[in-house]
Amino acid sequence: MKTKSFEKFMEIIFLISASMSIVAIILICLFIFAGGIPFISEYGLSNFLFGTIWKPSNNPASYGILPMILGSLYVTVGAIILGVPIGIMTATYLAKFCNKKLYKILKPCINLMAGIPSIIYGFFALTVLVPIIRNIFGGTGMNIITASILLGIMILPTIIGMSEASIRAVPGSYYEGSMALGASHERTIVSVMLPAAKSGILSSVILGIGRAIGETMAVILVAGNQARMPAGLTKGVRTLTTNIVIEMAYAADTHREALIATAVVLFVFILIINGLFMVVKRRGLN
Amino acid sequence: MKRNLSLILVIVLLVGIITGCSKSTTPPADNPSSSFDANKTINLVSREDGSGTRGAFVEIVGILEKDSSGNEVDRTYEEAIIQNSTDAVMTTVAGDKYSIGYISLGSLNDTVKAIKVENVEATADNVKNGSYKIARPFNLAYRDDISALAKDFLNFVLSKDGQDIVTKGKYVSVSNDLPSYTPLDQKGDIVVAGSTSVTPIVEKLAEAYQGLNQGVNIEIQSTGSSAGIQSVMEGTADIGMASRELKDSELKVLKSEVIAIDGIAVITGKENIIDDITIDQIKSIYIGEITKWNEVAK
Amino acid sequence: MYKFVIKNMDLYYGDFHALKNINLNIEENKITALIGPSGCGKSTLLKSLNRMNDLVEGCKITGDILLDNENIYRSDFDVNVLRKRVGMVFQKPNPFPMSIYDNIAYGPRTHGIKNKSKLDEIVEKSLRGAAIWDEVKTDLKKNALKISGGQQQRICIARALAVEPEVLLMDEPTSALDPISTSKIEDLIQELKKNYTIVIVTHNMQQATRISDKTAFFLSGEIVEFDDTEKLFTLPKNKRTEDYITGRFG
Repeated sequence: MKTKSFEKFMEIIFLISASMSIVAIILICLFIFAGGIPFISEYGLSNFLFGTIWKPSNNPASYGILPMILGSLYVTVGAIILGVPIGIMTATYLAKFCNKKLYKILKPCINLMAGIPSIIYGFFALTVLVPIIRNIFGGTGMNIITASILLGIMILPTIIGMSEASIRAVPGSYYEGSMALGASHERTIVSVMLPAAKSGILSSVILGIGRAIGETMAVILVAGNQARMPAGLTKGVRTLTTNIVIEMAYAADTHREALIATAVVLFVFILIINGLFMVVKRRGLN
Repeated sequence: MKRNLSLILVIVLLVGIITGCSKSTTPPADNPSSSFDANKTINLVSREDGSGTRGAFVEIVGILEKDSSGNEVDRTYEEAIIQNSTDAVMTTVAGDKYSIGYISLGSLNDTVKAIKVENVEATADNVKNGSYKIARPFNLAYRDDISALAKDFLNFVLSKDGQDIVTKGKYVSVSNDLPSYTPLDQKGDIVVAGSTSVTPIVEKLAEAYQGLNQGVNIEIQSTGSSAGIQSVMEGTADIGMASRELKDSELKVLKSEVIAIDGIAVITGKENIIDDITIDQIKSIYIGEITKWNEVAK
Repeated sequence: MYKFVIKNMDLYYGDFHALKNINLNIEENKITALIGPSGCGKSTLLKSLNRMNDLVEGCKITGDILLDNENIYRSDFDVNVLRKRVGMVFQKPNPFPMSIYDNIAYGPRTHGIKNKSKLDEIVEKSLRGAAIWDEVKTDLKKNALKISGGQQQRICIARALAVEPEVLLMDEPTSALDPISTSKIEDLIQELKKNYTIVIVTHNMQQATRISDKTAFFLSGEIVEFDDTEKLFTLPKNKRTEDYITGRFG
């Protein structure tokens, strides 16, 4: 009797813990959508999403966030182009080519990269990357290229970690089968092991995209933050996240609602990305 | 063979990065002007919308203008880089010799150069005697129902002791004829939020105050002038720091005291050949009419 | 006459002496079975014949293994060419997670064949050689993981045949399969010996008697007896052999 009621008690405790995350998500959803939807319905969804002018202090104020949507899109795509190939190749190296001694140094380094606070990445980019980019491309050095390189570096640990695990999880029997046919180690890795790990690698890329879109503090220091339509790779941009951070503290009334509505848009993007992640993962299991 | 090749490649890469870095971050020592190409574009650095420094700057320099319907429009050039704190502006300008920015005079350090405005050097004395034109008051704002402890801190700031600290920094005190402060050995917490320009001097004042009143803890949040005012209005802070005048809508709800006068320094990189600039030129640069350095250097 | 000649071969996994003084001749176009209890070294010997043991860390070999009179452990012997000439089928079927076509074409593509019609030809020939062409010819694009275990193993055999080996090494190829698939594959192996030399490791003594020409009995890393299959199973010369085949120990 005693163990049965104790078990029931523990079950309830676990249930409560699990529900905490659900409750948190529901509360966040409620707050964001309740705060943002009224503004969107009043201002007009297409005016909001496709408006190209963001000038809250004008009279009448203009709250078009297309510049920021494109800004987020461009730097994220840039980060993917730079970070994904390097990440996957590093993961392959770690899983299949690295000797044990070097691995003991490399793996902790990569884990350390994951733990470095964003603002430190930001200052690194501001003091090291920006002057280099300025020397090469001219202009201010605070532009899409710099932000993409920075974000590419920041999403590396995410991509490497999960890709490496996926590659390691590929059954060794595939490796043996390929080697027994006379294929070299390199060919086996590239033609059999990597394709077999592709759903895990794809999942890691999707997670990387999620991180890149949400990154704020680092991007603020090097992206230029001009609130206008992106004007070129060597010109600055403002992303959805940096827009919120720069203006939220002092925004009032409609301006604040517009920023919460920006958060709604961001939230929807993240939901789509996470949905994609789950679809890919499920397909991988099959 | 493969391993040696990759080792050589890594070494070449490292050497390339190191030389690339050092070339761009070491400023030329002997003759700064020789390496300054005046044909380059001016890289503008500005603050975010809610910055008190920006608000004061655009008003004094004339970037804030009335349009045809009587509305005030901030005509800052849309290509200007936006940074959201005094420090970030200074770091940006220090790192780019073709850039120009504006910051609180009291926060100026030797990583950047403050240029003369209308042939007047940016010093606290010149702000005091009125020859340096770009200056604004530091305001501390509070509600009617301010706590006794916070009011006591304000009294300290506006006492002779407090204003002595103000003058030691590169700021101008409000008055020379003020009573001394008598500590009443207070206890409790005070939250002060707002301008990144005002923060340095308030930090010094808070340190001195906490030294005299051991039981007091003052928390300072550097969020920007408008954000600080918002916090006080909402009740999340006791005192708000603003590096500009309060707006009418804010004065309806809050009281404010001027605690210091601060110049706004116009800063450039140390290698910049410009030493002196007129207010008209500043305005033209910041609304995007003048875009290259050779249009300024005459 | 002898495809493989193994002379005074010893194998160590680190400090463990896994194979002791092995001397064995594998005849061409015959099926040689390696039998013995678990852990006695039969799979280890098999894997030495195509140098798959090279992939095991700490594995050391002394002595000679000659393929057509050439020592395969010579430092300038191309191990990839060796594995093309000496193919392997594993105990658990391991088709790649690709289409049936791509599985079979993998080997030829690795060795440089890119022409589509040539590949088509090789795929059909190999699948016929593995007696599975009729079952899969209508859907070569099907993922190889979606077919039954017995079919997968025949795909693996076809995959091995596609690189046109001279020898086929089979490591307990039917132990993971049902009796019907097993019998199909046993028939296949007997067909294959016409064109290939086959060495098969098996736990199943009935299988050895059914299909093999010669049998080697292993115990604790040594070859206890090696003879024609019929002779070994009816009149074993060694008491330990007799004890094993009569089931006194397993």
